[in-house]
Amino acid sequence: MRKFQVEQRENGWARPFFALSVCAALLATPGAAASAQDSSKAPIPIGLSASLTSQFAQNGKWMRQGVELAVKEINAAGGIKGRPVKLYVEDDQGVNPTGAINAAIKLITQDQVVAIVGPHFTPDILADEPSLAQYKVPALTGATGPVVTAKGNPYVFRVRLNDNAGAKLLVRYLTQVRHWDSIGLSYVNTAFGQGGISAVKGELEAEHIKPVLVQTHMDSTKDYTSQLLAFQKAGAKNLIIWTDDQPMGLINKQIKTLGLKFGVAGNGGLTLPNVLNLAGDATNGAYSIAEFISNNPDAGIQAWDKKYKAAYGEEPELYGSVYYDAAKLVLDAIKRAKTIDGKGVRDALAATKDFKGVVTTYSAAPTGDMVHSALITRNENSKPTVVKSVSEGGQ
Amino acid sequence: MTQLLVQLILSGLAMGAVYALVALGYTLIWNAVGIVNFAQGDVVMLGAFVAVGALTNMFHLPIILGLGGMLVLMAIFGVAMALLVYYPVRNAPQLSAIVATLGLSMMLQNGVVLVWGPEPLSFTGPFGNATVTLLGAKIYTQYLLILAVLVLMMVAQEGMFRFTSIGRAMRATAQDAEAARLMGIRTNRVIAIIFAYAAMLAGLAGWLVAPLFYVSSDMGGKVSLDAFAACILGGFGSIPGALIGGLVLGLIESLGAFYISSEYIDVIAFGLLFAVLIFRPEGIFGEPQMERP
Amino acid sequence: MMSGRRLLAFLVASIIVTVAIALVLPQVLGIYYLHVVDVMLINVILALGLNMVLGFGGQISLAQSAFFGLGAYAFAIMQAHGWPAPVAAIGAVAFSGILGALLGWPVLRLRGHYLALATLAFALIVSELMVNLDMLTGGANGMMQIEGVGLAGNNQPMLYVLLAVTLVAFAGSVIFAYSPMGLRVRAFRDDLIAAQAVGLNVKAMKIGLFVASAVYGGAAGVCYCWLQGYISPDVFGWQTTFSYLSMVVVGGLGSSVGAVIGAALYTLVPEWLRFLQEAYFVMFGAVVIIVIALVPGGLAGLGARLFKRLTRARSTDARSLSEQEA
Repeated sequence: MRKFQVEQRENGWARPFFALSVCAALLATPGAAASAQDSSKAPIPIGLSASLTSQFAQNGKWMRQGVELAVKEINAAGGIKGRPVKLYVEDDQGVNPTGAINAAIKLITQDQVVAIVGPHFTPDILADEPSLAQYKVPALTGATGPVVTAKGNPYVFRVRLNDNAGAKLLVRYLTQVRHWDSIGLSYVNTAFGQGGISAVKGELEAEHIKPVLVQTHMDSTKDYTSQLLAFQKAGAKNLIIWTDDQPMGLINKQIKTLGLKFGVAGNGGLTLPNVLNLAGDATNGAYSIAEFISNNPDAGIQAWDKKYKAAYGEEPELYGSVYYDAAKLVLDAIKRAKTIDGKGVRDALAATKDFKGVVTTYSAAPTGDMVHSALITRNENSKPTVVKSVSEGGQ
Repeated sequence: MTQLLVQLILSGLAMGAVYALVALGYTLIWNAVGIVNFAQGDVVMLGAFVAVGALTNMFHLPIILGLGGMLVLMAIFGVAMALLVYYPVRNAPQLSAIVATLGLSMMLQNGVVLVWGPEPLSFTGPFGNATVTLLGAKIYTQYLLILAVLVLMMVAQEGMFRFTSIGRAMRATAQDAEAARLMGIRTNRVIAIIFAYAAMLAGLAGWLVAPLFYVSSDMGGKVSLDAFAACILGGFGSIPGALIGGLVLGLIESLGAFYISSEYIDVIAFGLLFAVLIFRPEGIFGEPQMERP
Repeated sequence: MMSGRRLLAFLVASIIVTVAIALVLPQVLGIYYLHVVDVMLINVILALGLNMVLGFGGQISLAQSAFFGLGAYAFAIMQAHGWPAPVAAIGAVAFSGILGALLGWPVLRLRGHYLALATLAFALIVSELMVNLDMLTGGANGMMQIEGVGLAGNNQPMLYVLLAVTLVAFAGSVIFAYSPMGLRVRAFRDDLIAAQAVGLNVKAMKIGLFVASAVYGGAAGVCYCWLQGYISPDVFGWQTTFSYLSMVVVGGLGSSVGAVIGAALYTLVPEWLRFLQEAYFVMFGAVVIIVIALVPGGLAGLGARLFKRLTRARSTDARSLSEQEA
């Protein structure tokens, strides 16, 4: 019988056994069953899935600031039905489905949260959807990819305008009010960009306008010279750009440097402070479909500006404000919920009607979309100004 | 038409010059100690953050002092890299050393966020958004600065390698560390100096691109990969190879994105690289016959 | 040298350990930690596969993230087209294996950093195509509601499934290592010229190793579909390939047990460090550097040395270790 020959090595079965036992023991410590609590005064747990690490950590920081402010406020006012609210924060590690699922399962099964705010990115919330449905815990996301609310999952709620609607409203404004033609499209090759530009294309097609050129880029693309010159060569007079913050800033900056004259429009990124800081006056004249601008003269927003500045020493921007509203929506739903658990909160969220938040008014549609209006803005003097408000089902 | 080409070529060369600076760092470290430092792109990022985040934004130093200060700090960081990351694994298999540099990369990318926060920083730099008109085309003055710095650097480096004793010691150590030690060169010290120099090169690259793009924690990743590709293209281990490889890669990316497709530009560039590897792996300048001891 | 009997004992012990884990873990771990173990097992399969080409064969492959993705997408697409799950699974693994051969063949002549970059280029191209070919792959939105074997999100039954697959993968790796073919492979890793001189078909073996790593990678991709029910290009980005490399190296190149240990630590340590919030990756990077600095040969070797020292007391005469044969 042929013997298996091998280099000298002792029988190694004990090692993996020890290693895995040690691992199991260490993991079991925090995993041990949670002890029963006196439910009448026990804190109500809610969760936040945010990007604490990765290149999107800025986004996570703003989300956290908004949510923590809302929780602090409600606890200062005595909590909900006498119970304090406890916020659990887990890192979903940026655009990372595996990380997002880990964070969601930890929040749901370890921290026993009754609702989750976040995750923010489309692939993350898509990855979480099965777990949310299985454990019956609702999540409120600011992801704008249309597909997020297209699958009929009753546990997903969206607290920003669906890109399908947003793109449509922007394109309609540009073509019907500003009479744009010879349009070039530029988008970031992510779930957000692909979804957005697809909606833009659809609306252009409905108006019988064909884009002269469509180009894409990555979040890491730094130099847009080739692309901008290609747009010029194709005869584009106007560009609709659907992309993330850094590319948005760079593209506008480089349009200016190259001396190109395009009309520019795009997603709400054009109104964000970090894009404005980076691109400066290069975005002047650009139109955008946006939700929140801090220099909106509206009294409610000015009050919010003051409150946020007092807490964090900086002006509020879109994400901090949206997720503050999301947290308030959750807290309001908990107040109205028949039972304070995932299903109860979910049902209360689905019944949300005309909830006045900082950014806008929220009403839950059967799809889970809660926002149905937005602002068309134009950048002037390196600041966005409101041109008009628009809403679904009307102009 | 000329205008178009001028813009495409100059922006391609400017990006290429940045790749070349980083590729030089790879080459020097490889020649000296036989490992590929996968953290090199993140050292670029660190240099940019130190120059912009700390020296300019926090301490408000004038630009030249900011640059000088950053170079000094990067040199110190390079020595620390040599002592803490390279030295413990100097006799280990090459892969272990690579994994150590991957650990360093993770620390740097997340560390800068801890220190300077997650928001990308902007930097006006020496020229801000100023442009210059060349052959009818408007281009960033900064591009010209990058190219000028690269040329000056190469000249200065050649001079250092040829005419100074420390430069000669570096060349000797890079060619054959054993022989160099036998000749009385304190190779451990020289290796630390090589790391310091490579870190300074990376920091300089970071400082040069910061006004054009933004200083962010993810700026190193793609640059690392592109610089590595540039080394291979030019011939791994060859200094002129790193230079030419970087410039060529920059041009390919710029011209390819315009004339072929921006959506598939990475697939094209790396597909081409793959083809080069299959058919002419030694690149443009070939590899000097050097094996890791 | 390990005899056939020893090998059999080792495998039987592995089976016992696996069954023990399957019985014990669900009782002591909460659902979340079961999920972490599930993800860890997928990483183990990936590391075992990479170890085939990297550890046994000495070939630097940075393509493991691509095979992971190819297997996952192939399975999801096939199932979406109506193929039943077992057929789709086999099809996906086979597809990945074929691509392993297609990669292994042109890169035959390459070694060292050249091979590294060629395989990395492959990984990058594959991950970009996942995003760009959106008619087929769903683009950056990924593929949702993958039926798999109907267990998506059900961490306890998935634990059993994954343990079974991992056990087969592990056994395959160990048997291969100690088989005549495995020895020949390690011969050419250690001395290419001598191996060729002895008449070994080095080309076939190199391609075979790529196929093996691709098969394992593809299987891991299928398992990922089953576990999560959702895939997107973000899971298979080219940067992730360096994690698998680190797992194999930290665990111990060329050791199947090492691959298991490396994957386990790489998945579990960040979880332990979660309490550090924003700082945990910095800490983890430091941990990787420290471990590699202290044990450059990988942890499996360390464990082996410790074990030998502990059991050395038993031997009564002065025979060298290599002659201690049952």
